[in-house]
Amino acid sequence: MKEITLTKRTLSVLTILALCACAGAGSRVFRGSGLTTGTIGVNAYPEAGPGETTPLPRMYAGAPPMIPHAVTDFSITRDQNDCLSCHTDGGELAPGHNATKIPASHYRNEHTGETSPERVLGIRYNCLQCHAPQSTDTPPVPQKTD
Amino acid sequence: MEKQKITRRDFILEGAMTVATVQLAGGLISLNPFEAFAEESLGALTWNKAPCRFCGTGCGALLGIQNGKIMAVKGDPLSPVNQGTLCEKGYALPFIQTGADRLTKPLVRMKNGRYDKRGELTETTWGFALGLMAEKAKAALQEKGPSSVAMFGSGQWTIWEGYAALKLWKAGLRSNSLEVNARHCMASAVAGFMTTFGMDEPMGSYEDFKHADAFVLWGANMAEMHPILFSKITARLMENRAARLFNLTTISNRSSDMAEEEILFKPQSDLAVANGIARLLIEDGKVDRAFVDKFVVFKRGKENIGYGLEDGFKFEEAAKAASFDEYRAFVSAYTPEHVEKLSGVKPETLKKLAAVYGDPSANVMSFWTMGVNQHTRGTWMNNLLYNLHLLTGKISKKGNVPFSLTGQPSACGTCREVGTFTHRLPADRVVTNPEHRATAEKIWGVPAGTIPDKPTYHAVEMMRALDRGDVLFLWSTVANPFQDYPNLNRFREGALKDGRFIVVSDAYPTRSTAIADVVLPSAMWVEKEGAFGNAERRTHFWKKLVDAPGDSKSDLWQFVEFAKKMGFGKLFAYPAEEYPIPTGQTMSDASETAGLYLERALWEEYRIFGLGHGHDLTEFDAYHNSRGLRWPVVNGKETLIRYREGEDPYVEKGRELQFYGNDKKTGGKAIVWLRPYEPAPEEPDAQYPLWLCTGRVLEHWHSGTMTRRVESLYKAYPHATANLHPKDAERYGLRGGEKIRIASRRGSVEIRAEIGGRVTPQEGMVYVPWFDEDVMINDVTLDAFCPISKQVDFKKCAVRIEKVS
Repeated sequence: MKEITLTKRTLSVLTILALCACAGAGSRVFRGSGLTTGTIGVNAYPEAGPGETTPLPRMYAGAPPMIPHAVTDFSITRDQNDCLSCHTDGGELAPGHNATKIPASHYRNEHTGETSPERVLGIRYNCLQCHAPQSTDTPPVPQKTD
Repeated sequence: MEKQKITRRDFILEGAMTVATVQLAGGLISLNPFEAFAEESLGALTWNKAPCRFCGTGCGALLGIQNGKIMAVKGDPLSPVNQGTLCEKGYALPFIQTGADRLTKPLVRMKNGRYDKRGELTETTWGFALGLMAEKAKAALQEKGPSSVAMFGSGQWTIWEGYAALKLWKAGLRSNSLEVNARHCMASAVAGFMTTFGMDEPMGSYEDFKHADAFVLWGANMAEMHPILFSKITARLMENRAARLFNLTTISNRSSDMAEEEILFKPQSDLAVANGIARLLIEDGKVDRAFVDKFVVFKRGKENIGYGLEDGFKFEEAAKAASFDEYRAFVSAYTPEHVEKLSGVKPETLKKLAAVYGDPSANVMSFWTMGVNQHTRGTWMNNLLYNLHLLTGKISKKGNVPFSLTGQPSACGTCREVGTFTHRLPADRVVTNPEHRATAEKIWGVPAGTIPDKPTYHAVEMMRALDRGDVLFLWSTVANPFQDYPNLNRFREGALKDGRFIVVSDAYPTRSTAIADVVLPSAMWVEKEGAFGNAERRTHFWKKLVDAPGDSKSDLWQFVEFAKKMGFGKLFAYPAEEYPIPTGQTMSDASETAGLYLERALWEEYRIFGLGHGHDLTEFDAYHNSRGLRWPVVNGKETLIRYREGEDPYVEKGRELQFYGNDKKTGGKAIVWLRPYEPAPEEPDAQYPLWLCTGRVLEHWHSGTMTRRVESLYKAYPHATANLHPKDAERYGLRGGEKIRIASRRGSVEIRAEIGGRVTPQEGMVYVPWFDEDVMINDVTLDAFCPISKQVDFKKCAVRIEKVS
């Protein structure tokens, strides 16, 4: 689906690179091109269903896990939350299947002290506000690696 | 006592944070708030508080720091706003400052060793960049006067940055050419508050969520745009089966999943829907007449007020008093049948909504943001929503709030409260009022007559003036105007004209730095000390936690240094003995250079404007030592419900309810406005048959410059797509993923179609988020605005689409 086109911007970056060779010290020409890639993309997410994938690495210990499987036609309403059926501790899973368990933080409001042992807290009920399926695209700009 | 640095150990020792285990259904589970953090993998972290960098909700975050780097983030359990949670963007906070392409050096366009508008951006020193800026600003002052020197800031400025910009511009340069992106975001909300109550910002707070029985969303997809506030609605819906949610929208979206009903209305027809509800309230005898008689007056303003499409457009309101009977006659035209014709909303649905607002035993909260504010009748629409709450007395009462949500983290705290607009001064004052100017001149210690008495350019007109050559110098900070502005083709070309000098301060290369003459590398968020003000009037502070890369400097430092170059350094000279630098605290670059605690000095001066004036902010340390306080803060006590006796210290004894912003105008009564439905300036026609609506997605903040550099957020929503209704897709023979061109009378973009994505617009409409640098949808949008608020309508213009083979 992706297209890489040589944009005007890329060309000017090449020119800049050429110029750099003759620019004096202390006047290095800026080469940042930002997020502009010339790609008109589409968002494609994993098609594999729940139970058919493995967990994704987290951004840091304690970060909300991202969703490795498709959530097409999943429902999160007042009466039904399709995520909970597998991810609640004690949920019925087919033999050989695992699902990341919802942690204790989702059953106790750390501000009010309110506990909700039977059901995920209302403020934690909209799973997609923190957890999202991930496409195979990678950001055009990486993170610093120092 | 300082309570800033909380080590994990201290944290665990705090009462509410006690490590505990309880017997849950699934077994013994640790309730240590950090149980999810694998301690051994992170080592020793120091946890510090800071408000989230993103939306106007104002969540508290705890940042885990090690060796000068943010290693982890957690929702702050001590913040009542988010109660230990965050949204997807909040959990990405550790990465927003560390994209590999951070700007680290000032850049100037150079050719043959000199500044040249057609040169290449070249690394230079602060001294050279600031010197060039001062030279260009002075030349512009000479050539076209103070109004030709302009600054464009944002609702992401810290409070002291906005305050310093305001002081520099209005008291130093003597220019009112100061605007912010909040003009595109909240101006209609401000105008709505000012025209109805004579005073800005919501009367209620987030405490009200837990007392509400019904929530009505007016064009606000809170599940994506205000996820943590939506989680408060969800919590109420889950705990109280009788609580109800209605989602009024032009686009089918995620907020409907928890709703009793998704109510689709045609673009612009919200005006008719609100008037239709008001009519039913009157006809069905649901108006609280005692309340109305005591606390409300009626007014009718100008009609057929235009759309601001012409350069130099002017509007002046002329309001006439009206009676309840005139109001009744006015809304009588909005019968359910007429409303259905305009909006598509079925009469039985309209009646259901009227019954919700009219139920005397139900507490009702209405919510809105960009759908209502980015509207060529945005001020009117704000007025109409207040009308519903005023007619029924559902206001300034626990669980009853018409709640204007805010988009940016400090649109309220900085733009609205400091007043960083062409016409404003701090604490709801305006430059056109001689008393207000005198107050500001006195506080600032500048001669009488310093502040110019006429507003110059509001945001759109400022860019038009740049194109025309009336503005010659434009400095943009914490904003990305050359991705964000409507009708961008005109403004981009304007900025590139000879004689225009554009400065952009930012942390990353953007669409705006790409056309700038000077690019200044900015220290961002916790790389400096800061203060934000959120949507519930909560002011909250943070301290500098990590160093900025390279030569990056905070906006505050940049403003002060520029002021010195311009000869206005004394505006920021404070006695060091009065504001000493505390030992052991990491200071911002601005304080370090000043040799005094500059943030404290600016704060203590700024808050004089609001004391005794309904906007009381308290002393500096109180904010560092708390999770924020909601103004007015009087005698150390914050105010949760304004205008209600016993809750708000400004209400006179025996008044019960006093809208004291209107004391002079109406004797403290709120105003119900007679505001009609009027059509949008550009409606779909044979040539351009579809509506275009633009907006955001959960994962990306504004133009995506921070969030698209975070892997989890990028991967969750990499590209902007054009969301279409399946019937329109069929009509155009389109399948998802196919490339299309969206064109208006102003420009076009290429983009891929999406059918059945996260949102589905109604038939005859296409939705495109504006975060994607490769899909410059604002080349297509229209620069029409609300004549009263001057806020652009980014939600409606006419387009055609075609497949690109």
